[in-house]
Amino acid sequence: MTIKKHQNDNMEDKQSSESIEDKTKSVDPSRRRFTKSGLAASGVILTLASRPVLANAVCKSPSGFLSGNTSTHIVEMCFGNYPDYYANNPQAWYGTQYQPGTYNNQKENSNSIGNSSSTNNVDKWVGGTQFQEAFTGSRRFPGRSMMQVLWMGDPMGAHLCAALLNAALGLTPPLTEARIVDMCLEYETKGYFEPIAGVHWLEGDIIYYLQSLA
Amino acid sequence: MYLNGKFKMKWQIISSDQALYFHSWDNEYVVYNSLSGDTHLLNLTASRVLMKLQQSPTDAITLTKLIASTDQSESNAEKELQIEHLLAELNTLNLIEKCQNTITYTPPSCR
Repeated sequence: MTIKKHQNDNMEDKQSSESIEDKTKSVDPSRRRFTKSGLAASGVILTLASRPVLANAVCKSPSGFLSGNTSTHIVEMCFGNYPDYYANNPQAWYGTQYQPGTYNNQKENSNSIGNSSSTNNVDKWVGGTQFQEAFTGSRRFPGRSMMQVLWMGDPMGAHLCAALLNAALGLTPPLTEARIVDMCLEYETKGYFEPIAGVHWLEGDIIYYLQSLA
Repeated sequence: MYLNGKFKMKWQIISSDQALYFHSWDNEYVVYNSLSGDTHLLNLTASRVLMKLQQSPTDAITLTKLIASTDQSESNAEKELQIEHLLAELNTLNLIEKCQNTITYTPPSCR
Protein backbone atom coordinates (compact mmCIF):
# COMPACT_ATOMS: atom_id res chain seq x y z
CA MET A 1 0.00 0.00 0.00
CA THR A 2 1.51 3.35 -1.08
CA ILE A 3 1.04 6.15 1.36
CA LYS A 4 -0.22 9.24 -0.44
CA LYS A 5 1.66 12.13 1.16
CA HIS A 6 0.76 15.81 1.14
CA GLN A 7 1.27 16.90 -2.48
CA ASN A 8 3.16 20.05 -3.55
CA ASP A 9 0.27 21.22 -5.68
CA ASN A 10 -1.86 21.37 -2.58
CA MET A 11 0.73 23.60 -0.87
CA GLU A 12 0.27 26.16 -3.67
CA ASP A 13 -3.33 26.42 -2.54
CA LYS A 14 -2.05 28.43 0.42
CA GLN A 15 -2.31 31.50 -1.72
CA SER A 16 -5.75 30.68 -3.02
CA SER A 17 -8.62 32.83 -1.97
CA GLU A 18 -10.90 29.80 -1.79
CA SER A 19 -12.46 29.07 1.56
CA ILE A 20 -11.96 25.79 3.39
CA GLU A 21 -15.55 24.88 2.60
CA ASP A 22 -14.93 25.40 -1.10
CA LYS A 23 -11.87 23.22 -0.83
CA THR A 24 -13.73 20.33 0.70
CA LYS A 25 -16.33 20.54 -2.03
CA SER A 26 -13.68 20.52 -4.73
CA VAL A 27 -11.87 17.38 -3.48
CA ASP A 28 -11.64 14.77 -6.21
CA PRO A 29 -14.15 12.03 -5.34
CA SER A 30 -11.71 9.33 -6.44
CA ARG A 31 -9.19 10.75 -3.98
CA ARG A 32 -11.80 10.80 -1.27
CA ARG A 33 -12.41 7.09 -1.87
CA PHE A 34 -8.66 6.47 -1.69
CA THR A 35 -8.46 8.11 1.69
CA LYS A 36 -10.91 5.58 2.98
CA SER A 37 -9.08 2.59 1.59
CA GLY A 38 -5.96 2.71 3.74
CA LEU A 39 -5.50 3.14 7.46
CA ALA A 40 -3.65 6.45 7.18
CA ALA A 41 -3.48 7.06 3.45
CA SER A 42 -3.62 10.80 2.65
CA GLY A 43 -4.07 11.58 6.33
CA VAL A 44 -3.47 15.26 5.68
CA ILE A 45 -5.70 16.20 2.78
CA LEU A 46 -4.65 19.83 2.50
CA THR A 47 -3.06 22.68 4.42
CA LEU A 48 -3.80 26.37 4.35
CA ALA A 49 -0.74 28.13 5.65
CA SER A 50 -1.20 31.45 7.40
CA ARG A 51 2.02 32.90 6.14
CA PRO A 52 2.30 34.40 2.64
CA VAL A 53 5.15 33.53 0.27
CA LEU A 54 6.95 36.71 1.29
CA ALA A 55 7.04 35.71 4.92
CA ASN A 56 7.66 38.51 7.38
CA ALA A 57 7.48 41.06 4.60
CA VAL A 58 3.75 41.58 4.90
CA CYS A 59 2.61 43.23 8.08
CA LYS A 60 -0.52 41.99 9.72
CA SER A 61 -2.56 43.04 12.68
CA PRO A 62 -3.07 40.24 15.23
CA SER A 63 -6.44 39.26 13.73
CA GLY A 64 -5.02 39.44 10.23
CA PHE A 65 -2.14 37.21 11.28
CA LEU A 66 -4.67 34.63 12.41
CA SER A 67 -6.88 34.65 9.35
CA GLY A 68 -4.00 34.79 6.97
CA ASN A 69 -3.81 36.92 3.87
CA THR A 70 -4.85 34.59 1.08
CA SER A 71 -4.46 37.36 -1.47
CA THR A 72 -1.13 37.82 -3.16
CA HIS A 73 -1.54 41.60 -3.09
CA ILE A 74 0.90 43.07 -0.58
CA VAL A 75 -0.85 45.67 1.52
CA GLU A 76 1.84 46.86 3.89
CA MET A 77 5.45 46.03 4.55
CA CYS A 78 7.13 45.46 7.90
CA PHE A 79 10.64 46.54 8.70
CA GLY A 80 10.71 45.95 12.43
CA ASN A 81 13.85 45.21 14.43
CA TYR A 82 14.54 42.49 16.96
CA PRO A 83 15.13 43.25 20.66
CA ASP A 84 18.90 42.87 20.47
CA TYR A 85 19.07 45.61 17.87
CA TYR A 86 17.54 48.16 20.23
CA ALA A 87 19.57 46.81 23.14
CA ASN A 88 22.81 47.38 21.25
CA ASN A 89 21.86 50.55 19.38
CA PRO A 90 20.48 53.16 21.79
CA GLN A 91 20.76 55.76 19.03
CA ALA A 92 18.02 53.86 17.19
CA TRP A 93 15.58 55.06 19.86
CA TYR A 94 15.91 58.66 18.64
CA GLY A 95 12.72 59.86 17.04
CA THR A 96 10.54 58.08 19.59
CA GLN A 97 9.27 59.34 22.90
CA TYR A 98 11.16 56.55 24.69
CA GLN A 99 14.57 57.14 26.19
CA PRO A 100 17.20 54.37 26.35
CA GLY A 101 18.90 55.86 29.39
CA THR A 102 22.58 56.17 30.08
CA TYR A 103 25.20 53.49 30.17
CA ASN A 104 27.08 53.86 33.42
CA ASN A 105 30.64 53.27 32.45
CA GLN A 106 33.20 54.89 34.70
CA LYS A 107 35.65 55.10 31.85
CA GLU A 108 33.42 57.35 29.81
CA ASN A 109 31.71 60.72 30.30
CA SER A 110 28.85 60.04 32.68
CA ASN A 111 26.41 61.98 30.48
CA SER A 112 27.17 60.16 27.30
CA ILE A 113 25.49 57.08 25.96
CA GLY A 114 28.11 54.43 26.18
CA ASN A 115 28.99 51.73 23.73
CA SER A 116 26.66 49.00 24.83
CA SER A 117 28.21 46.31 22.70
CA SER A 118 30.18 45.12 25.72
CA THR A 119 27.29 45.52 28.15
CA ASN A 120 26.14 42.37 29.82
CA ASN A 121 25.00 43.89 33.07
CA VAL A 122 21.43 45.10 33.21
CA ASP A 123 22.18 47.48 36.07
CA LYS A 124 24.78 49.40 34.08
CA TRP A 125 21.94 51.13 32.30
CA VAL A 126 20.48 53.96 34.36
CA GLY A 127 17.61 56.31 33.72
CA GLY A 128 15.59 55.90 30.59
CA THR A 129 11.90 55.32 30.10
CA GLN A 130 10.53 52.91 32.67
CA PHE A 131 8.75 49.81 31.40
CA GLN A 132 5.69 50.62 33.50
CA GLU A 133 5.69 54.15 32.14
CA ALA A 134 5.66 52.91 28.55
CA PHE A 135 3.18 50.13 29.31
CA THR A 136 0.86 52.11 31.55
CA GLY A 137 -1.07 49.81 33.83
CA SER A 138 1.44 46.98 33.70
CA ARG A 139 2.71 45.48 36.93
CA ARG A 140 5.66 43.75 35.35
CA PHE A 141 9.30 44.82 35.72
CA PRO A 142 8.78 47.40 38.49
CA GLY A 143 11.64 49.85 38.69
CA ARG A 144 13.10 48.62 35.39
CA SER A 145 13.63 50.71 32.30
CA MET A 146 12.80 49.44 28.82
CA MET A 147 16.52 49.16 28.09
CA GLN A 148 17.04 47.07 31.18
CA VAL A 149 14.15 44.81 30.21
CA LEU A 150 15.78 44.34 26.79
CA TRP A 151 18.89 43.08 28.54
CA MET A 152 17.20 40.99 31.23
CA GLY A 153 16.65 37.96 29.01
CA ASP A 154 12.90 37.84 29.43
CA PRO A 155 11.62 36.99 25.92
CA MET A 156 8.15 38.44 26.36
CA GLY A 157 9.34 41.69 27.93
CA ALA A 158 12.10 42.14 25.35
CA HIS A 159 9.81 41.54 22.37
CA LEU A 160 7.17 43.87 23.77
CA CYS A 161 9.74 46.65 24.17
CA ALA A 162 11.07 46.07 20.67
CA ALA A 163 7.55 46.00 19.26
CA LEU A 164 6.74 49.29 20.97
CA LEU A 165 9.85 50.93 19.56
CA ASN A 166 9.12 49.52 16.11
CA ALA A 167 5.60 50.92 16.24
CA ALA A 168 6.81 54.30 17.48
CA LEU A 169 9.20 54.49 14.54
CA GLY A 170 6.45 53.55 12.10
CA LEU A 171 8.16 50.32 11.09
CA THR A 172 5.15 48.03 11.64
CA PRO A 173 2.11 49.91 10.32
CA PRO A 174 -0.77 47.63 11.28
CA LEU A 175 0.37 47.39 14.88
CA THR A 176 0.10 50.60 16.86
CA GLU A 177 1.70 51.42 20.20
CA ALA A 178 -1.70 51.43 21.86
CA ARG A 179 -2.42 47.95 20.51
CA ILE A 180 0.87 46.63 21.82
CA VAL A 181 0.18 48.06 25.28
CA ASP A 182 -3.29 46.51 25.20
CA MET A 183 -1.74 43.18 24.23
CA CYS A 184 0.63 43.38 27.18
CA LEU A 185 -2.07 44.31 29.67
CA GLU A 186 -4.56 41.74 28.44
CA TYR A 187 -1.94 39.01 28.74
CA GLU A 188 -1.07 40.14 32.28
CA THR A 189 -4.71 40.25 33.30
CA LYS A 190 -6.08 37.13 31.65
CA GLY A 191 -3.00 35.02 31.06
CA TYR A 192 -3.58 35.19 27.31
CA PHE A 193 -4.22 37.64 24.50
CA GLU A 194 -7.32 37.27 22.37
CA PRO A 195 -6.68 38.57 18.83
CA ILE A 196 -10.16 37.49 17.75
CA ALA A 197 -13.00 36.11 19.77
CA GLY A 198 -12.38 32.60 21.00
CA VAL A 199 -8.69 32.43 20.10
CA HIS A 200 -6.24 32.64 22.98
CA TRP A 201 -2.60 33.46 22.41
CA LEU A 202 -0.23 32.40 25.14
CA GLU A 203 3.26 33.80 25.59
CA GLY A 204 4.77 31.68 22.83
CA ASP A 205 2.05 32.69 20.39
CA ILE A 206 2.50 36.39 21.16
CA ILE A 207 6.27 36.19 20.75
CA TYR A 208 5.85 34.25 17.51
CA TYR A 209 3.58 37.00 16.17
CA LEU A 210 5.86 39.85 17.29
CA GLN A 211 8.83 38.12 15.68
CA SER A 212 6.93 37.96 12.42
CA LEU A 213 6.91 41.73 12.24
CA ALA A 214 10.70 41.94 12.03
CA MET B 1 12.75 0.43 5.16
CA TYR B 2 13.18 1.21 8.82
CA LEU B 3 15.57 0.66 11.65
CA ASN B 4 14.80 -1.62 14.55
CA GLY B 5 13.38 0.38 17.39
CA LYS B 6 12.24 3.26 15.17
CA PHE B 7 8.60 2.51 15.81
CA LYS B 8 9.27 2.78 19.55
CA MET B 9 10.11 6.45 19.14
CA LYS B 10 7.51 8.54 20.91
CA TRP B 11 5.80 11.55 19.40
CA GLN B 12 4.11 14.54 21.03
CA ILE B 13 2.57 17.85 20.17
CA ILE B 14 5.21 20.54 19.93
CA SER B 15 4.66 22.77 22.90
CA SER B 16 2.50 23.13 25.95
CA ASP B 17 1.62 26.54 24.52
CA GLN B 18 0.35 24.95 21.33
CA ALA B 19 -3.42 24.95 20.96
CA LEU B 20 -5.13 22.75 18.38
CA TYR B 21 -8.71 23.60 17.49
CA PHE B 22 -10.75 20.86 15.84
CA HIS B 23 -13.98 21.00 13.88
CA SER B 24 -15.43 18.02 12.05
CA TRP B 25 -17.66 17.44 9.09
CA ASP B 26 -18.50 13.75 8.56
CA ASN B 27 -15.18 11.95 8.85
CA GLU B 28 -12.97 14.91 8.03
CA TYR B 29 -11.54 17.36 10.50
CA VAL B 30 -10.39 20.94 10.13
CA VAL B 31 -7.60 21.66 12.59
CA TYR B 32 -6.18 25.08 13.38
CA ASN B 33 -2.69 25.15 14.91
CA SER B 34 -2.18 28.26 17.03
CA LEU B 35 1.59 27.78 16.98
CA SER B 36 2.01 28.02 13.21
CA GLY B 37 -1.24 29.72 12.29
CA ASP B 38 -1.87 27.02 9.70
CA THR B 39 -5.17 25.27 9.11
CA HIS B 40 -5.23 21.62 8.06
CA LEU B 41 -7.88 19.33 6.64
CA LEU B 42 -7.33 15.84 8.04
CA ASN B 43 -9.04 12.52 7.61
CA LEU B 44 -10.40 10.59 10.58
CA THR B 45 -7.22 8.62 11.24
CA ALA B 46 -4.94 11.63 11.20
CA SER B 47 -7.22 13.59 13.49
CA ARG B 48 -7.47 10.69 15.95
CA VAL B 49 -3.68 10.39 15.98
CA LEU B 50 -3.36 14.09 16.70
CA MET B 51 -5.96 14.00 19.45
CA LYS B 52 -4.20 11.08 21.05
CA LEU B 53 -0.86 12.86 20.98
CA GLN B 54 -2.50 15.87 22.56
CA GLN B 55 -3.29 13.68 25.55
CA SER B 56 0.14 12.14 25.93
CA PRO B 57 3.31 11.24 24.01
CA THR B 58 2.85 7.94 22.18
CA ASP B 59 4.77 5.72 19.81
CA ALA B 60 3.61 4.44 16.41
CA ILE B 61 2.97 0.88 17.59
CA THR B 62 0.64 2.02 20.36
CA LEU B 63 -1.11 4.41 17.99
CA THR B 64 -1.65 1.62 15.48
CA LYS B 65 -3.28 -0.57 18.12
CA LEU B 66 -5.49 2.26 19.30
CA ILE B 67 -6.56 3.48 15.90
CA ALA B 68 -6.21 0.49 13.56
CA SER B 69 -9.21 -0.07 11.36
CA THR B 70 -11.13 -3.29 11.35
CA ASP B 71 -9.89 -3.91 7.83
CA GLN B 72 -8.09 -7.23 8.11
CA SER B 73 -6.67 -7.04 4.58
CA GLU B 74 -3.66 -5.17 5.90
CA SER B 75 -1.03 -6.73 8.10
CA ASN B 76 0.04 -5.11 11.35
CA ALA B 77 3.38 -4.26 9.79
CA GLU B 78 1.67 -2.45 6.94
CA LYS B 79 -0.55 -0.55 9.35
CA GLU B 80 2.42 0.46 11.49
CA LEU B 81 4.28 1.67 8.43
CA GLN B 82 1.31 3.78 7.38
CA ILE B 83 1.07 5.32 10.83
CA GLU B 84 4.79 6.02 10.77
CA HIS B 85 4.43 7.84 7.46
CA LEU B 86 1.50 9.81 8.83
CA LEU B 87 3.54 10.84 11.87
CA ALA B 88 6.35 12.02 9.59
CA GLU B 89 3.85 14.06 7.63
CA LEU B 90 2.38 15.66 10.75
CA ASN B 91 5.92 16.44 11.88
CA THR B 92 6.65 18.18 8.58
CA LEU B 93 3.60 20.35 9.12
CA ASN B 94 4.84 21.39 12.59
CA LEU B 95 1.94 19.68 14.30
CA ILE B 96 4.03 17.17 16.27
CA GLU B 97 7.65 16.44 17.14
CA LYS B 98 9.70 13.47 18.25
CA CYS B 99 10.33 12.94 21.93
CA GLN B 100 13.50 11.02 21.28
CA ASN B 101 15.86 11.21 18.36
CA THR B 102 18.59 8.96 17.13
CA ILE B 103 20.64 11.96 16.04
CA THR B 104 23.15 12.93 18.68
CA TYR B 105 21.82 16.14 20.11
CA THR B 106 19.82 16.74 23.22
CA PRO B 107 16.22 15.90 22.34
CA PRO B 108 13.24 17.61 23.86
CA SER B 109 12.10 15.56 26.78
CA CYS B 110 8.69 13.99 26.75
CA ARG B 111 6.22 15.92 28.82
